Amino acid sequence: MDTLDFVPVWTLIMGAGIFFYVVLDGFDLGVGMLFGLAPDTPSRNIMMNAIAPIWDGNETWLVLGGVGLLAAFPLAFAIIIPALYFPILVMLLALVFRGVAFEFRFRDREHKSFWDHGFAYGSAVATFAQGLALGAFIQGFKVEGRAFAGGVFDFLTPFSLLTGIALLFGYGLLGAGWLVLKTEGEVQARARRQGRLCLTGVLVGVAAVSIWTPLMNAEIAQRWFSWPNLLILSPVPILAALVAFGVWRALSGSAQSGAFIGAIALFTLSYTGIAISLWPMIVPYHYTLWQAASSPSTQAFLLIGTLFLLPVIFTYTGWSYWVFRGKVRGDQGYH
Amino acid sequence: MKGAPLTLFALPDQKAETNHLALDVPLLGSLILTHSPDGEIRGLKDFAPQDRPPVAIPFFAFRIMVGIGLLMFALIAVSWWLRARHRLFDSVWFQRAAMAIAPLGFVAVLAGWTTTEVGRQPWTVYGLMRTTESVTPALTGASALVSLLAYMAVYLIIFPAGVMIMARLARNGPTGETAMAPVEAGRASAPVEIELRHGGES
Repeated sequence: MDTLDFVPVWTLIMGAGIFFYVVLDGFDLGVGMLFGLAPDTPSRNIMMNAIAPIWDGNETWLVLGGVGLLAAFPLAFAIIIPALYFPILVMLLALVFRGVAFEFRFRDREHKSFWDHGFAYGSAVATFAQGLALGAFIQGFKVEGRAFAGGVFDFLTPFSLLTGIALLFGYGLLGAGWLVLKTEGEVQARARRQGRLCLTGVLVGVAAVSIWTPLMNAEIAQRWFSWPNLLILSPVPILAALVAFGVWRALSGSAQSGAFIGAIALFTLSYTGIAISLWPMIVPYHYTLWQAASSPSTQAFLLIGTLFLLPVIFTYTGWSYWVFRGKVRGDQGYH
Repeated sequence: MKGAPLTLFALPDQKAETNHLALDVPLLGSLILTHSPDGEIRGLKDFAPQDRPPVAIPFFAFRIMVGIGLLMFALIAVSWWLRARHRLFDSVWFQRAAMAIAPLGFVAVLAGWTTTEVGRQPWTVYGLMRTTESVTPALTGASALVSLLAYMAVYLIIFPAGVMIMARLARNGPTGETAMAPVEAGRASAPVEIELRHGGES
């Protein structure tokens, strides 16, 4: 029993959980940012209705990611969370504003504009904080022994600012894709225009990160550019270019779902790229997944509960998307 | 200590290791915790002074929590009595008491939380890791202060807004808007942009 290795299973659960979070909350954070750019109240109501029934379900993945990291990879949790203390704090406080805005903006009409701003800026600040955290994670933390040894503002670097801005465009693209899928008319046309702008930003951002990362770290450069890895890994950037082209076409034409699906594919490829660069590290350049894992008995114990929980989450998530399928109209919606 | 009493009220004196003005129910403490009137309860004096929590905070927080609970039970008992005499729906004093007691649930929850969090000091993991050892090394006092102020700033905006909205909903009562919107063709159709119809306000 004690030779059984649960780390690959937990890696898969954590990897999938974080990916679901990024894509799902990504698009509704993106809609939140585009909400701030909408010119009139009817458009804003439609955009709000497009995510109102599903956004809080999307954020459950954040909880799964956080608790899963604590329980299955406690050493990683103990180093990463202190190192990213302020980005995570700011993200959570921004999500508070954004979360209450769904209810408060129509129940507290005298201050509607305040809650509308809270929704848009809350979405943008949460996204930017996640981007900062991602950049700092890729750059690696100062670690001594089994603890973070840097300062609380170590996360703030030119590289993390770049990833922060890139993620604003990335979530904006996902949000625009979702709005194209869920809306019609003027709102959809605006989402198509904004989506193309965001796609441009994403491509510049991804290209910059892809050049900068191997320059920062010789090992990552070696992994991507040595033979035969160069050949084996070449589908990642080539596919990304093709998908980007497809997303641009879908945004420019009359496709309803192509932009959203393509944007998810673009995120999948970027995520894969980061995973290839960092594997098998969970605290980059210090601890591997196996070194940071909790004991096999702990991981087995947690796995039993998680394997019951995941189908439940998938079922209610799928169900809520099915119930609220189709185009959103301004005069009806969920609450 | 065998046959320990239940202390209803006292002024605990941590330095002198004693209670002043204690109001005790004999043997009840042992009965509750060990189900035997002469069961043994290890008191604080059985632990080294450096392994003890600050006594006054959990002592009073616990009694506030339990006291509010008993008050709620009393209110329920009164409601049954009124119901049996067919006076439940027109006893205005009782309805006012029910309204007044409503926020006490929050107080009880906070008091209970305080009891566990202060009462477990000085340990994070009992017997293994002390609270002082589990502090993040990178987190300076200034950073902790900044983050606490950030939390306070956010909740000073959100909480009064929530209370205001709840108060307004309660004041307007169940008018106009029905609880459930009609469901058409498998899709709930209640707008996010609900017009809250209530007396005079738009």
